[in-house]
Amino acid sequence: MAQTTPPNASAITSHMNASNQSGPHLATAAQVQHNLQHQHLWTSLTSYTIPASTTQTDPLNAPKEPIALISGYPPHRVYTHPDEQLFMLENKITEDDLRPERMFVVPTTQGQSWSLRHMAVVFDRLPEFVQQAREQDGGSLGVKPADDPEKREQLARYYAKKEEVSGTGEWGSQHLLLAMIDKGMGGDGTVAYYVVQEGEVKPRQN
Amino acid sequence: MESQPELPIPISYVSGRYLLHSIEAVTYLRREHHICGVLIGTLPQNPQQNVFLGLPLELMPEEARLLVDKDVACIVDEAKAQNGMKTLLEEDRRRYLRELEAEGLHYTRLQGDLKDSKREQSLKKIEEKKAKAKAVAAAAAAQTQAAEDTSLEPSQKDTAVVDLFASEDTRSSSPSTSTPPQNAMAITPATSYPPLPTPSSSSHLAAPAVPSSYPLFAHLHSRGYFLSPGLRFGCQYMAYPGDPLRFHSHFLVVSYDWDQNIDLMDLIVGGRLGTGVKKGFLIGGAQKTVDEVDSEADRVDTVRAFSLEWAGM
Repeated sequence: MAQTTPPNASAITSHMNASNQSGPHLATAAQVQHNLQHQHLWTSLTSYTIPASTTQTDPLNAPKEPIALISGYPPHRVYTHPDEQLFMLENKITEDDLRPERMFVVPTTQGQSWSLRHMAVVFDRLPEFVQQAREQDGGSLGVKPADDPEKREQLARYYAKKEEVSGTGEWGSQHLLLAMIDKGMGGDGTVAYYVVQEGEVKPRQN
Repeated sequence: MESQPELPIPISYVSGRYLLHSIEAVTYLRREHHICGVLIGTLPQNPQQNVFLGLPLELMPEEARLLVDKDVACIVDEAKAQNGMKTLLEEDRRRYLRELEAEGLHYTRLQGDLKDSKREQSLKKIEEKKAKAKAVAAAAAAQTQAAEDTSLEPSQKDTAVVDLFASEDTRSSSPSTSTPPQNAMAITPATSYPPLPTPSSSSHLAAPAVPSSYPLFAHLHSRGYFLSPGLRFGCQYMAYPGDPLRFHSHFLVVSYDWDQNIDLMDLIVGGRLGTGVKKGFLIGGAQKTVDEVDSEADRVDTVRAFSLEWAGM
């Protein structure tokens, strides 16, 4: 009788085992992170956790379970507000001229509990993580110096406008990606990504 | 036509529906308060058709509630209000009929004046045409006179033309000076106010009961969105950034309670459909439950909303 040996674990399983997560929510994060890194070619991936809260008396208390967060640099811009796009077109700025932006992702799985409280807590904590990531990145991903003085002027105008509208919601509010995976029968490795924004932000192609 | 109806506008409550029967109120609410409602009246000749719908306008309970909370409208139990017909005094009834008749006379006179002015205009045109023809004829006559001295025809024509004008002039002037016609136009009043007295504020019904999505509805309305029922896209409301006649809607809106479990599949379904029809999917709700606050208005201030779009990756 030949000895049968179990096949090696798949890349994703070994990745999840290696990441040594403490709970199911955080194991989901490992799977999404794997997808971002290898399918969508994101870089500088970092994980965060919003700890659970024992009481939910205040509507802004965190939910009963921890929420995982991932951030990284996508190879292309994931979201551009329609008005921002118009401004870029008018000033002849292409996406490639701009400095890359760190994007945040919330990994979720079908069947997990999710509510407006979860969503609100993530958005309330987001500025904190953005700040943290900015300090971590330092100035390493600063502006690519443009050779053309005209281009440099256009970019300066763009960044000034961007600074001006931040907080007003004119070019959209703070946003992140909601990543959803299915671990059941349809667990084929598909991850669905949706852009979530705080408040009423007009759709991109209306 | 920028008319403003008398406030508060009575909303008729008929077997569970909130209806408006006055076109003045309907246009006013749409213009000033961004409330569109749904026209549900069809044609009596062809009640099955639903292409051309007219009055009455049905309001969602949320819309009725919003208007009542803003003191723009009040809810009137239509069945009770119709009893007022019996208490109408004979004197009032006669006065109302006289008013209707006077109005009819006014319109008949207006129509008569319009007819007269039209006739005068067309007569003037004919006159001009004739004058031109006369000038041409005179020129031709001068030419022929140069060639042939004896020709009476033009002068005969001239007199004929003058005669025609004279007779028509007298004819046209006579009806304009005549007395106005006696038979008045029949007026069919479209509303029952007046003659029915406006119901007293004590007889108004309480503010309508609303579903738990009301805070989100009121929140979006306060941000200037026009909201309509969302049946067409399988959501609760559709949010338009301006009048639906001018804009496509921006959002498919679904409301959740603060701690209500959201099935992530629903987010995908809404987000994907919304993106497919060039809209966003908007979810939201109030942070506090009804028991925690004094009124619905307090909940509206605590609404948080999130818009979703497919990321395309």
